[in-house]
Parts: sequence; C-alpha cells; structure tokens
Amino acid sequence: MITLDHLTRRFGNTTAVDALTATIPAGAITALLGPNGAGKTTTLNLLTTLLEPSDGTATVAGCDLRTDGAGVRRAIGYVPEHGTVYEGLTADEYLELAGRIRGLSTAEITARATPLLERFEVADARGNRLGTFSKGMRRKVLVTAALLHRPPVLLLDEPMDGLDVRSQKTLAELLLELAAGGACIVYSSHILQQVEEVVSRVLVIHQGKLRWDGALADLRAGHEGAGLRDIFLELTGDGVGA
Amino acid sequence: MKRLPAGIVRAAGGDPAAVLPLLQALRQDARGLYEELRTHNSRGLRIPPSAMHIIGLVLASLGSVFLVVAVAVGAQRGQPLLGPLALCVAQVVFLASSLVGQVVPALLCADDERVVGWWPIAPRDLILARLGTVLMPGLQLTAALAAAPLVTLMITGRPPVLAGLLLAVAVLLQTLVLAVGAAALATTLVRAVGTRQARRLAAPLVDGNLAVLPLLLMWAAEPLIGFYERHPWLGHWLPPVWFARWGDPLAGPDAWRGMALSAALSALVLVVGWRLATPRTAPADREGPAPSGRRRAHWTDVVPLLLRPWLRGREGWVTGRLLAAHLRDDWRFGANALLNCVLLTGMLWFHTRPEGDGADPALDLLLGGTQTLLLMTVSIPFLVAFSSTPKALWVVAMADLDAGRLLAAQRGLVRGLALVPLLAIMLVRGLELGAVGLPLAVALALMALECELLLLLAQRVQPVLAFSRAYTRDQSAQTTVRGMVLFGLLVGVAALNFGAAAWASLRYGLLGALPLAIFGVRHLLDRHVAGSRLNVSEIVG
Repeated sequence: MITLDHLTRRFGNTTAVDALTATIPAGAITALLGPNGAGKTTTLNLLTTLLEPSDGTATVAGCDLRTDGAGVRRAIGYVPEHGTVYEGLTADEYLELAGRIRGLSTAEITARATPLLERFEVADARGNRLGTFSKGMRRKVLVTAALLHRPPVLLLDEPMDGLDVRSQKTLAELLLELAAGGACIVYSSHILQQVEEVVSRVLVIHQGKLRWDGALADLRAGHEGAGLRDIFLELTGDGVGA
Repeated sequence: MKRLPAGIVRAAGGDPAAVLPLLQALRQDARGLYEELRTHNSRGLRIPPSAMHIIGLVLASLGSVFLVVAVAVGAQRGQPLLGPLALCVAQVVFLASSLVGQVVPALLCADDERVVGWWPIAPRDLILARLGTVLMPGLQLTAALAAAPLVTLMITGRPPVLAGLLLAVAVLLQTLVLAVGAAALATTLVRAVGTRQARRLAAPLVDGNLAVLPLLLMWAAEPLIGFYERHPWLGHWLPPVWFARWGDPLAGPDAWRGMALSAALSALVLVVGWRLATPRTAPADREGPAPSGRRRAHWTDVVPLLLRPWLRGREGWVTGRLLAAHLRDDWRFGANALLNCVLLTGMLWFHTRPEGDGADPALDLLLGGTQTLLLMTVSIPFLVAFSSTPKALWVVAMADLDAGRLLAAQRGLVRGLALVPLLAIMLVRGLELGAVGLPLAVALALMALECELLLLLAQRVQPVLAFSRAYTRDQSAQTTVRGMVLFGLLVGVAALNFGAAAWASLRYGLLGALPLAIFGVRHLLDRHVAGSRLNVSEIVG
C-alpha cells in the first residue's frame, strides 16, 4: 500500500507536485492520470526516491520516503518512462545485475527471468546487447528486471509505450495477475484507452494538484453518459476542483 | 579470491554485495559498448579503449627509462633527491591527466542515476564501483612508471633498499591521494552546483585536454621561472617534493619534514576526500524539469552570422545553426573548440615572434605557420565533429541534406574559425618580421592551400558529418588515432615547407601543385560520399 501525505515537490518557483494526499491500496491497479506536464513522472520520481519531497511525505509498503529510502527501494519495482539502461550489457547480464543487487542467486534469477522473457517473446534475444534492442524490447526487459524480486509495490511510467499490440495484451494480463496476487500497482499514463482496460482506481492530477481520487466505476457513475475522454477533459480543465 | 575485493570494499565503507556486481557490470558494459561500436563500424580505424590503456602503459615504461637515468645520475653526482623528485613529478603529470580524464567523466557523465537510481544501492556503493573501474588502471600506470626507477633506487639509494622501499610507499600514497582527490573534487562539484552545471564546468578537463596544459604553461614559462628564482622556498612547499623526500631518508630534517607533510596530506585527503567522494546520501536537489518559455538571446547566435561568408547554401545554414546550438548547450564541445582555437592562435603568435630569428623572415613565418598546422590537424576532428543531439539529428536527417555539400560546409566552418584568424595573424607577424610583398603573399597562399588539403585529407580519413556523431566512451581513443594518421600526413607537409622556405623554386612549384592535389582529393571525396545518406555515426555509402 502507498500513502501520500501532502506530498509536495517544488523546482524553484514551480510546484510540480502540490500537496498530494491519497491512499493507493494493495491488490489493485491504480492509474495515475494527467495531461503532459501534470506531475505524474515527478510523483513517481518521489515514490522511487529519485527525488526528495520539498514538503509532506509518503509511505511505500510501510517505509517512509524521508526516513527509510533504502526500505522503499527494496520494496519497489519500477519501470521508468525513459528506459535508460547500460547499453553494453546483454539482457542476461542486465538481469543478472538487477537480481544480484536484490540479493538473488544466479539460479533464482534464471528461474524467475526465463518465464517472463518467454512470455514477452524476447527469450531468444537474451544474449544480445541492450543497445541493439528496440524500445519495446528494452521495455520488456525492464519489466522483467522490475519483477525479479517479486516486489509488493510496482510503479510503471507509460509502460505500454513502444510495445506492440500483442505485448500490450501480455503486459495487461500480467499486471492483472500481479494485482490479484496482492501487489500494489501504480500505472502512470496519459492514454486513457489503455488504462481503462486494466485499472480499477484512478488518481487524476493536473498542474500538480489532485483532481480525482476514487474507483473508476465511481468516476463513470458521476459523469453519466460521458466517455472517459470527456470526463478526463472536464477534470483537467482549469478551475475544476476535486 | 573474492574475499580480498570484498574486504577492500568493506574497509572503504561500501557493501560488497552491491559494489562487486556493479563493478563487474560496468566492466561488461564498457566491453560491450566497444564490441557494439566495432560491429557497427567495421570500416576505419577502431582500437579498443584497453589498447589505449596499453599504449599509455608502454609510454609510461618508456618514460621510466629517463627516470632511471635521473636516479642513477643523481646518485653519482651526490644528488640523491633528483631521481625521486623526477619520478614524483612525472607521476603527478601522468596520473593527473589520466585520472582526471577518466574519473571526472566517469563520475559526471555516467547516467547511473537514470539506470539504477531506484535500486537498493547506496550512492557510496555506486561511486565505489565507478572508482573501482579507474583505480586499477591508475595503479597499473604507477607500476609501469615507477618499477624500474624504484629498483634502481634500491641499488643506488641511500641507504640502498630502504630508500627504494620507502619511495614505493610514497608513490602508492601519492596515487591514492590523486585518485581520491579527483573523485572528491568531482562529487563535491556535483553536490555543490548540480550535475548539469558540474558537467559544464568539468568540460575543459576531459577529452585529454589536460595534456595541452603543459603547452600553455610553456608559453608562461619565462615569468614562472623568474618568479620561482625570486622565491626558491616555493619548491619546498610543493607536494611532489614532500613525497620525493621519502626516497632519501638520510637527508636529515628536510627528509623528515617532507615525509611528515606528505603523510599528513595523505591522511587528510584519504579521510576527508573519501567522505566527500563517497557520500552516504544522494544529492538533495536533483535537476528539475527544463524551464519552458521563449529562449532568450545568446552570444552564440552571433557565431553563424560571423561565419556566413564561409557557410553557403542550406547545408551551410544548418551547419552554422548547429555550431551555435552546440556551443550553447554542449560545453564539452565548446571547451574543446575554444581550447583548440586558443592553442592555434597562441602557437602562431609565440612561434613567429620577431625576436625569434630576424635573419630570414619568410622562413620564420613559414615554420611558425607549419607548427600551427600541426595543431590544426589535431583540432580538426573537434571543429568538425559536433556531439550528437538526437533532436537536432532527426530534424537534419529529415531535411535530406546533401552529404557532399555538408562536408564542404564543414570545411568552410574550419576556414572561418581557424584559417582566417591564422592568416590574419600571419599577415601581422609577417609585416612585423619585415616580410612584405610577394614573399608574404606566397607564404600566406601556401598556408591556405596546405590547410585546405589537410582538411580534405582529414575528411577522407574519417568522413564524419557535423552533428552526426555521438560522444562515445572510446572517442578519445579514436580521435588520437586519427590525429596520429593526420600527424603523419603533416610530417610530409612540414618537410615540404622546410624545403619551400629554403628554395624559391620549390615554393612556386608547390603553389602550382597544391591546387591540383586539392582538386584531386576533393574529386575523390565527392565520389566517396556521392549518394550517401546521413547515418547516426558516419556517412554510409
């Protein structure tokens, strides 16, 4: 579970994340929605300890961001939007590194990585260097690396970006399985069609502020007849409160 | 065998479970990147970074021969400090350029934060792993440089064996002080001003630029030597002198003072520097999103306007705009370009001084110009090969520009940036020297034609398009190799200039032959790139 408590991040005079307060439950996939520049990636950077909060705090799997950053990093799996990797490593070498840093043995790493790589249909390329991988293939390896240590919290920033339709379906199914197994999953995106197929809860942020926090079904019920796109446009229009 | 590295990491305050796999991965990454480069660029001269390291070791071993002589001569003349002092100074020069050239980019330019920033790795472990990749080459370089002189000192030192052993300890300490000091400076810089600004400030130090600093010092040698002669006590306060004192323990209070000072400096740097270099926590304030809004005017906007006469057509316009963009955004490129232009100007100014040799002004002018051309060959890769910014690359690639005309624009760029100032200085110096009329015009024309020919040959050796090359970790290695090839070409040009300065007939013969050679090489180059398209790394046929 993740608890945001007035989580705030400022860059100079710009407030990228403005006093976010919310609870993200375990056993569900929660979408973090917002237009470009809304503060989604900054929020994820805070939750992954890549950034320190300016004010407020959050707990991730019971670990406070401010006082137990190491605990947070042990508890999370993260798939960043940019997907930067050590390009000279092969997929196997990268996964070996990711696993060993998490304290897994080589046998455990192989046993856990192989089914995921096969499911994503990149097992044949595991001996190739990541620098030669396409964006989608790289993302599949990043997802595999994020899941190796079976984290209770999984954070995904635009995870479908670069994936083909089949892989998108595979990832969606995998996420639903993980959520059913009790994982807390945060799925950040600005593509609504992808999100509504898998998420059960929605956080909408705009200009760093929380505009909606609740179940997807409640969001639809409150805007009868309107499509998700119209609801999103209404929520992210200036002057609309939560 | 794994216990020793684990023990060292633990003693340094790191976690072996994180540092050792990371260190292994960083080495695999460096190897993989080189393999990748070789696979994609089978043509041209490609040597691995490891080979450059071996070349460095060989050069250090060759240099150590002089140090052996210094040790032996010093012992014979009753100056036992001479050898150790030469060794310690040489080690500082070798290691400073090697370590700063490696540690600073490794710590500042690595994208570790973006790759593993959310993994359970302490910042200290990450930096320890990065340091581990450069400390071993540093120790190897020290061994290559110091082994033979130390053995000599064990035989000739006073007392034999002990003096050698003590100096070995001093050399090791100095290596650690330099490595930790460089790392501490780099990380402190990052913490103080942020990664983006730190990279900018460190830009002049990388790409082997430190190697040219002795040249700059050479120009200032006269006043520096004068200052030192007026203040001889200054020498006693230089750290290499302190470390060198270990090589002569019988030198009385001087030796003990030097040993105490160097031991104190080592303790200070190793304790304080280590803490600064390997912080327990990450920098508190990382970079925020890039500021939005309209871009303000910048001095670099003037550069394309100034170079307009040499940058013609669409390709010229694009080259000028990209030069301005890179000068503004890529301080590493900017520092390299600026340093090379300063060197060119400085070389010509200092080596054609009227007081140098007034007997034959034309000879002075030609030889001065030739020395400048030597530097120009090294500068050309920096002046024409901008670092790659993918955004710029795609815009230009989509524009479907002509490769041949792009290369012509690059030559125009070098003419505007380097050749025109060079000719202007030559003109002033020639007039000061008393070379007027036809001899001056011939010298200037020769220089301009030779520069054009060298540029064309450089483009033929490595047809790199402006804005089409990314900085890679072995960039300095490739640049060095290209520089060596071009240096070979220049030796021929220099020999011709010597002849041309002596015999007027050769001078005029060259004036007639060079345009033909230029025409021929340009024809070859145009044929080589005809129909080529832009590629991320180089022109492909």
